[in-house]
Amino acid sequence: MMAFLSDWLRGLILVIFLAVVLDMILPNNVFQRYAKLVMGLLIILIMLTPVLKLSGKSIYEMDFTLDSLLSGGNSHSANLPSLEEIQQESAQISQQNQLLTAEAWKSGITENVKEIVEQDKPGLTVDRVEVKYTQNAQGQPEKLDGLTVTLKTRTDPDTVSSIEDVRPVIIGKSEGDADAEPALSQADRRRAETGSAIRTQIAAEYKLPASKVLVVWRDS
Amino acid sequence: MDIIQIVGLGLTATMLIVVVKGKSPQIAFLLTLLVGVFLFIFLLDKIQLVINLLEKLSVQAGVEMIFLQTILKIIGIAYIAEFAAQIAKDAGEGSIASKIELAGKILILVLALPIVQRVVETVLNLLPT
Repeated sequence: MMAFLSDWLRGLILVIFLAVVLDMILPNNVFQRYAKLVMGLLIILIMLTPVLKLSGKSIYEMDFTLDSLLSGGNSHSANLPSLEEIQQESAQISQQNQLLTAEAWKSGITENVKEIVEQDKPGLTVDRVEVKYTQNAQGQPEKLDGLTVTLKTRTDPDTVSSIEDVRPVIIGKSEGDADAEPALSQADRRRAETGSAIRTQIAAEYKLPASKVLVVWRDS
Repeated sequence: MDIIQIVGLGLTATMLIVVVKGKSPQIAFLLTLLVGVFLFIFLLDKIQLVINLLEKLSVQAGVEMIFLQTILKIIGIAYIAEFAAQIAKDAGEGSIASKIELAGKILILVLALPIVQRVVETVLNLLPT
Protein backbone atom coordinates (compact mmCIF):
# COMPACT_ATOMS: atom_id res chain seq x y z
CA MET A 1 0.00 0.00 0.00
CA MET A 2 2.74 2.42 0.99
CA ALA A 3 4.72 1.51 -2.09
CA PHE A 4 1.74 2.19 -4.29
CA LEU A 5 1.10 5.54 -2.60
CA SER A 6 4.70 6.63 -2.92
CA ASP A 7 4.73 5.61 -6.58
CA TRP A 8 1.59 7.60 -7.14
CA LEU A 9 2.99 10.67 -5.41
CA ARG A 10 6.25 10.47 -7.27
CA GLY A 11 4.44 10.28 -10.61
CA LEU A 12 2.20 13.16 -9.67
CA ILE A 13 5.05 15.37 -8.55
CA LEU A 14 7.07 14.65 -11.64
CA VAL A 15 4.19 15.37 -13.99
CA ILE A 16 3.47 18.64 -12.20
CA PHE A 17 7.13 19.55 -12.43
CA LEU A 18 7.07 18.77 -16.14
CA ALA A 19 3.96 20.88 -16.50
CA VAL A 20 5.71 23.85 -14.92
CA VAL A 21 8.72 23.40 -17.19
CA LEU A 22 6.43 23.15 -20.17
CA ASP A 23 4.65 26.28 -19.11
CA MET A 24 7.94 28.13 -19.00
CA ILE A 25 9.28 27.05 -22.34
CA LEU A 26 6.11 27.35 -24.37
CA PRO A 27 6.53 30.01 -27.06
CA ASN A 28 3.58 32.34 -26.55
CA ASN A 29 0.17 32.53 -25.00
CA VAL A 30 -1.64 31.32 -28.11
CA PHE A 31 -0.45 27.79 -27.48
CA GLN A 32 -0.19 28.09 -23.75
CA ARG A 33 -3.92 27.70 -23.16
CA TYR A 34 -4.06 24.50 -25.17
CA ALA A 35 -0.95 23.03 -23.67
CA LYS A 36 -2.26 23.84 -20.21
CA LEU A 37 -5.48 22.02 -20.98
CA VAL A 38 -3.60 18.87 -21.99
CA MET A 39 -1.32 19.05 -18.99
CA GLY A 40 -4.30 19.53 -16.72
CA LEU A 41 -5.92 16.42 -18.15
CA LEU A 42 -2.74 14.45 -17.62
CA ILE A 43 -2.54 15.58 -14.02
CA ILE A 44 -6.19 14.67 -13.45
CA LEU A 45 -5.52 11.25 -14.91
CA ILE A 46 -2.57 10.69 -12.62
CA MET A 47 -4.60 11.87 -9.65
CA LEU A 48 -7.29 9.36 -10.58
CA THR A 49 -4.83 6.47 -10.59
CA PRO A 50 -5.90 5.14 -7.17
CA VAL A 51 -9.51 5.12 -8.35
CA LEU A 52 -8.51 3.24 -11.46
CA LYS A 53 -6.67 0.83 -9.26
CA LEU A 54 -9.94 0.09 -7.48
CA SER A 55 -11.52 -1.02 -10.73
CA GLY A 56 -8.54 -3.29 -11.31
CA LYS A 57 -6.88 -1.34 -14.07
CA SER A 58 -3.46 0.24 -14.01
CA ILE A 59 -2.89 3.52 -15.73
CA TYR A 60 0.36 2.16 -17.07
CA GLU A 61 -1.39 -0.69 -18.84
CA MET A 62 -3.75 1.62 -20.68
CA ASP A 63 -3.54 2.18 -24.35
CA PHE A 64 -3.00 5.87 -24.95
CA THR A 65 -2.03 5.59 -28.57
CA LEU A 66 -4.03 7.67 -30.92
CA ASP A 67 -4.32 4.95 -33.55
CA SER A 68 -6.25 2.65 -31.29
CA LEU A 69 -8.59 5.49 -30.41
CA LEU A 70 -9.17 6.38 -34.04
CA SER A 71 -9.83 2.77 -34.98
CA GLY A 72 -12.51 2.63 -32.30
CA GLY A 73 -10.12 1.16 -29.77
CA ASN A 74 -12.42 1.34 -26.77
CA SER A 75 -13.06 -1.33 -24.20
CA HIS A 76 -15.37 -3.27 -26.54
CA SER A 77 -12.91 -3.88 -29.30
CA ALA A 78 -10.15 -4.58 -26.81
CA ASN A 79 -11.74 -7.97 -26.18
CA LEU A 80 -11.82 -8.91 -29.85
CA PRO A 81 -8.87 -10.89 -31.14
CA SER A 82 -6.52 -9.10 -33.46
CA LEU A 83 -6.20 -9.90 -37.13
CA GLU A 84 -2.95 -11.75 -36.53
CA GLU A 85 -4.54 -13.97 -33.92
CA ILE A 86 -7.41 -14.80 -36.25
CA GLN A 87 -4.99 -15.64 -39.04
CA GLN A 88 -2.94 -17.85 -36.75
CA GLU A 89 -6.04 -19.65 -35.64
CA SER A 90 -7.20 -20.20 -39.19
CA ALA A 91 -3.79 -21.57 -40.15
CA GLN A 92 -3.98 -23.95 -37.21
CA ILE A 93 -7.47 -25.10 -38.10
CA SER A 94 -6.61 -25.69 -41.74
CA GLN A 95 -3.54 -27.65 -40.68
CA GLN A 96 -5.70 -29.81 -38.45
CA ASN A 97 -8.13 -30.23 -41.30
CA GLN A 98 -5.38 -31.42 -43.62
CA LEU A 99 -4.14 -33.87 -41.03
CA LEU A 100 -7.65 -35.22 -40.56
CA THR A 101 -8.13 -35.58 -44.31
CA ALA A 102 -4.85 -37.43 -44.66
CA GLU A 103 -5.75 -39.68 -41.74
CA ALA A 104 -9.17 -40.49 -43.17
CA TRP A 105 -7.64 -41.25 -46.54
CA LYS A 106 -5.02 -43.52 -44.98
CA SER A 107 -7.53 -45.39 -42.88
CA GLY A 108 -9.70 -45.91 -45.98
CA ILE A 109 -6.76 -47.53 -47.77
CA THR A 110 -5.97 -49.64 -44.72
CA GLU A 111 -9.54 -50.94 -44.55
CA ASN A 112 -9.53 -51.73 -48.22
CA VAL A 113 -6.26 -53.65 -48.05
CA LYS A 114 -7.53 -55.59 -45.05
CA GLU A 115 -10.67 -56.54 -46.91
CA ILE A 116 -8.74 -57.72 -49.95
CA VAL A 117 -6.32 -59.81 -47.95
CA GLU A 118 -8.78 -61.30 -45.54
CA GLN A 119 -11.29 -62.23 -48.23
CA ASP A 120 -8.67 -63.91 -50.31
CA LYS A 121 -6.59 -65.62 -47.65
CA PRO A 122 -8.81 -66.49 -44.71
CA GLY A 123 -5.94 -67.65 -42.56
CA LEU A 124 -4.21 -64.26 -42.55
CA THR A 125 -4.82 -60.98 -40.84
CA VAL A 126 -3.43 -57.65 -41.75
CA ASP A 127 -1.56 -56.28 -38.80
CA ARG A 128 -0.61 -52.89 -40.08
CA VAL A 129 -0.61 -50.96 -43.34
CA GLU A 130 1.87 -48.17 -43.87
CA VAL A 131 0.91 -45.70 -46.54
CA LYS A 132 3.52 -43.58 -48.29
CA TYR A 133 2.25 -40.65 -50.31
CA THR A 134 3.25 -37.32 -51.80
CA GLN A 135 1.52 -34.19 -50.56
CA ASN A 136 0.36 -31.38 -52.74
CA ALA A 137 0.82 -27.71 -51.88
CA GLN A 138 -2.15 -27.72 -49.53
CA GLY A 139 -0.63 -30.61 -47.61
CA GLN A 140 -3.22 -33.05 -48.84
CA PRO A 141 -2.38 -36.51 -50.18
CA GLU A 142 -1.99 -36.30 -53.91
CA LYS A 143 -0.42 -39.54 -55.10
CA LEU A 144 0.06 -42.93 -53.54
CA ASP A 145 3.74 -43.79 -53.49
CA GLY A 146 3.90 -47.12 -51.78
CA LEU A 147 2.29 -49.54 -49.38
CA THR A 148 3.86 -51.69 -46.72
CA VAL A 149 1.53 -54.43 -45.55
CA THR A 150 2.40 -56.30 -42.37
CA LEU A 151 0.75 -59.73 -42.32
CA LYS A 152 0.14 -62.07 -39.45
CA THR A 153 -1.13 -65.61 -39.44
CA ARG A 154 -4.38 -65.83 -37.60
CA THR A 155 -4.06 -67.45 -34.22
CA ASP A 156 -7.63 -68.70 -33.74
CA PRO A 157 -7.49 -72.19 -32.35
CA ASP A 158 -10.19 -73.48 -34.73
CA THR A 159 -8.57 -72.49 -37.99
CA VAL A 160 -6.67 -75.08 -39.88
CA SER A 161 -3.59 -73.02 -40.42
CA SER A 162 -2.86 -72.83 -36.73
CA ILE A 163 -2.03 -76.50 -36.65
CA GLU A 164 1.66 -76.94 -36.83
CA ASP A 165 3.05 -78.49 -39.95
CA VAL A 166 4.26 -81.98 -39.70
CA ARG A 167 7.95 -81.86 -40.10
CA PRO A 168 9.38 -84.19 -42.65
CA VAL A 169 11.32 -86.96 -41.04
CA ILE A 170 14.60 -87.56 -42.73
CA ILE A 171 16.24 -90.75 -41.84
CA GLY A 172 19.96 -91.10 -41.91
CA LYS A 173 20.85 -87.60 -41.00
CA SER A 174 22.30 -86.40 -37.79
CA GLU A 175 19.95 -84.83 -35.29
CA GLY A 176 20.20 -81.17 -34.36
CA ASP A 177 19.83 -78.03 -36.38
CA ALA A 178 19.70 -79.79 -39.72
CA ASP A 179 16.23 -81.22 -39.20
CA ALA A 180 14.58 -77.84 -38.68
CA GLU A 181 15.73 -76.36 -41.92
CA PRO A 182 13.47 -78.01 -44.46
CA ALA A 183 10.37 -77.18 -42.43
CA LEU A 184 11.40 -73.58 -42.12
CA SER A 185 12.22 -73.20 -45.73
CA GLN A 186 8.92 -74.77 -46.66
CA ALA A 187 7.00 -72.33 -44.48
CA ASP A 188 9.07 -69.52 -45.91
CA ARG A 189 8.32 -70.63 -49.42
CA ARG A 190 4.62 -70.71 -48.67
CA ARG A 191 4.83 -67.29 -47.16
CA ALA A 192 6.69 -65.91 -50.13
CA GLU A 193 4.08 -67.32 -52.49
CA THR A 194 1.19 -65.91 -50.52
CA GLY A 195 3.03 -62.64 -50.14
CA SER A 196 3.65 -62.23 -53.83
CA ALA A 197 0.05 -63.11 -54.62
CA ILE A 198 -1.19 -60.47 -52.20
CA ARG A 199 1.33 -58.06 -53.55
CA THR A 200 0.20 -58.37 -57.14
CA GLN A 201 -3.41 -58.13 -56.08
CA ILE A 202 -2.91 -54.95 -54.08
CA ALA A 203 -0.69 -53.46 -56.75
CA ALA A 204 -3.41 -54.11 -59.33
CA GLU A 205 -6.04 -52.62 -57.06
CA TYR A 206 -4.15 -49.37 -56.55
CA LYS A 207 -2.48 -49.29 -59.99
CA LEU A 208 0.96 -49.27 -58.45
CA PRO A 209 4.08 -51.02 -59.70
CA ALA A 210 4.48 -54.23 -57.73
CA SER A 211 7.87 -53.06 -56.48
CA LYS A 212 6.16 -50.30 -54.54
CA VAL A 213 4.14 -52.76 -52.51
CA LEU A 214 5.98 -54.49 -49.68
CA VAL A 215 4.62 -57.44 -47.79
CA VAL A 216 6.18 -58.05 -44.40
CA TRP A 217 5.47 -61.00 -42.19
CA ARG A 218 5.23 -60.74 -38.50
CA ASP A 219 5.27 -63.75 -36.27
CA SER A 220 2.29 -63.84 -34.05
CA MET B 1 29.52 31.68 -25.07
CA ASP B 2 26.70 30.21 -27.03
CA ILE B 3 24.41 33.07 -26.23
CA ILE B 4 26.91 35.57 -27.63
CA GLN B 5 27.14 33.62 -30.85
CA ILE B 6 23.42 33.43 -31.11
CA VAL B 7 22.85 37.08 -30.31
CA GLY B 8 25.64 38.05 -32.71
CA LEU B 9 24.11 36.02 -35.49
CA GLY B 10 20.68 37.41 -34.76
CA LEU B 11 21.75 41.06 -34.63
CA THR B 12 23.90 40.76 -37.75
CA ALA B 13 21.06 39.16 -39.60
CA THR B 14 18.67 41.83 -38.39
CA MET B 15 20.89 44.65 -39.61
CA LEU B 16 21.45 42.92 -42.90
CA ILE B 17 17.76 42.39 -43.37
CA VAL B 18 16.96 46.00 -42.55
CA VAL B 19 19.49 47.12 -45.14
CA VAL B 20 18.35 44.67 -47.79
CA LYS B 21 14.65 45.09 -47.20
CA GLY B 22 14.49 48.44 -49.01
CA LYS B 23 16.03 47.05 -52.17
CA SER B 24 14.60 43.56 -52.36
CA PRO B 25 12.13 42.26 -49.80
CA GLN B 26 12.38 38.70 -51.21
CA ILE B 27 16.02 38.36 -50.25
CA ALA B 28 15.22 39.81 -46.85
CA PHE B 29 12.55 37.18 -46.33
CA LEU B 30 14.87 34.38 -47.33
CA LEU B 31 17.46 35.70 -44.91
CA THR B 32 14.93 35.69 -42.11
CA LEU B 33 14.04 32.10 -42.88
CA LEU B 34 17.67 31.03 -43.03
CA VAL B 35 18.64 32.70 -39.79
CA GLY B 36 15.60 31.26 -38.07
CA VAL B 37 16.54 27.74 -39.13
CA PHE B 38 20.16 28.32 -38.07
CA LEU B 39 19.14 29.45 -34.61
CA PHE B 40 16.92 26.39 -34.30
CA ILE B 41 19.82 24.13 -35.23
CA PHE B 42 22.05 25.89 -32.69
CA LEU B 43 19.56 25.05 -30.00
CA LEU B 44 19.18 21.37 -30.91
CA ASP B 45 22.10 20.25 -28.74
CA LYS B 46 20.76 22.06 -25.71
CA ILE B 47 17.26 20.73 -26.29
CA GLN B 48 18.74 17.24 -26.44
CA LEU B 49 20.30 17.78 -23.02
CA VAL B 50 17.02 18.92 -21.50
CA ILE B 51 15.09 16.02 -23.02
CA ASN B 52 17.65 13.50 -21.79
CA LEU B 53 17.41 14.90 -18.28
CA LEU B 54 13.63 14.79 -18.31
CA GLU B 55 13.66 11.21 -19.61
CA LYS B 56 16.08 10.15 -16.91
CA LEU B 57 13.98 11.80 -14.25
CA SER B 58 10.79 10.18 -15.41
CA VAL B 59 12.42 6.76 -15.60
CA GLN B 60 13.72 7.20 -12.06
CA ALA B 61 10.33 8.30 -10.84
CA GLY B 62 8.66 5.40 -12.63
CA VAL B 63 6.42 7.59 -14.71
CA GLU B 64 5.20 6.04 -17.91
CA MET B 65 7.01 7.33 -20.97
CA ILE B 66 3.71 8.07 -22.68
CA PHE B 67 3.23 11.13 -20.44
CA LEU B 68 6.66 12.48 -21.17
CA GLN B 69 6.17 11.80 -24.85
CA THR B 70 2.89 13.68 -24.83
CA ILE B 71 4.49 16.65 -23.12
CA LEU B 72 7.45 16.70 -25.48
CA LYS B 73 5.17 16.42 -28.47
CA ILE B 74 3.19 19.40 -27.23
CA ILE B 75 6.38 21.44 -26.92
CA GLY B 76 7.54 20.36 -30.36
CA ILE B 77 4.26 21.14 -32.06
CA ALA B 78 4.05 24.50 -30.31
CA TYR B 79 7.55 25.54 -31.32
CA ILE B 80 7.39 24.38 -34.92
CA ALA B 81 3.98 25.92 -35.50
CA GLU B 82 5.12 29.13 -33.83
CA PHE B 83 8.25 29.27 -35.99
CA ALA B 84 6.31 28.84 -39.21
CA ALA B 85 3.58 31.23 -38.14
CA GLN B 86 6.08 33.94 -37.29
CA ILE B 87 7.82 33.59 -40.63
CA ALA B 88 4.51 33.74 -42.42
CA LYS B 89 3.58 36.85 -40.42
CA ASP B 90 6.92 38.48 -41.23
CA ALA B 91 6.28 37.86 -44.89
CA GLY B 92 3.01 39.70 -44.50
CA GLU B 93 0.81 36.62 -44.75
CA GLY B 94 -1.19 36.96 -41.57
CA SER B 95 -3.93 34.64 -42.79
CA ILE B 96 -1.50 31.79 -43.49
CA ALA B 97 0.06 32.38 -40.10
CA SER B 98 -3.25 32.03 -38.34
CA LYS B 99 -4.00 28.81 -40.28
CA ILE B 100 -0.69 27.36 -39.15
CA GLU B 101 -1.50 28.32 -35.59
CA LEU B 102 -4.91 26.70 -35.90
CA ALA B 103 -3.27 23.49 -37.16
CA GLY B 104 -0.89 23.53 -34.20
CA LYS B 105 -3.74 24.00 -31.73
CA ILE B 106 -5.77 21.20 -33.24
CA LEU B 107 -2.79 18.83 -33.23
CA ILE B 108 -2.18 19.60 -29.57
CA LEU B 109 -5.82 18.87 -28.80
CA VAL B 110 -5.65 15.62 -30.77
CA LEU B 111 -2.79 14.55 -28.51
CA ALA B 112 -5.15 15.06 -25.61
CA LEU B 113 -7.96 12.92 -27.09
CA PRO B 114 -6.93 9.55 -25.60
CA ILE B 115 -6.34 11.21 -22.24
CA VAL B 116 -9.75 12.86 -22.33
CA GLN B 117 -11.34 9.54 -23.16
CA ARG B 118 -9.65 7.80 -20.26
CA VAL B 119 -10.58 10.53 -17.80
CA VAL B 120 -14.22 10.49 -18.90
CA GLU B 121 -14.36 6.69 -18.75
CA THR B 122 -12.91 6.69 -15.26
CA VAL B 123 -15.30 9.32 -14.00
CA LEU B 124 -18.25 7.49 -15.54
CA ASN B 125 -17.10 4.26 -13.92
CA LEU B 126 -17.16 6.03 -10.59
CA LEU B 127 -20.81 6.94 -10.91
CA PRO B 128 -23.29 4.29 -9.82
CA THR B 129 -25.21 2.92 -12.77
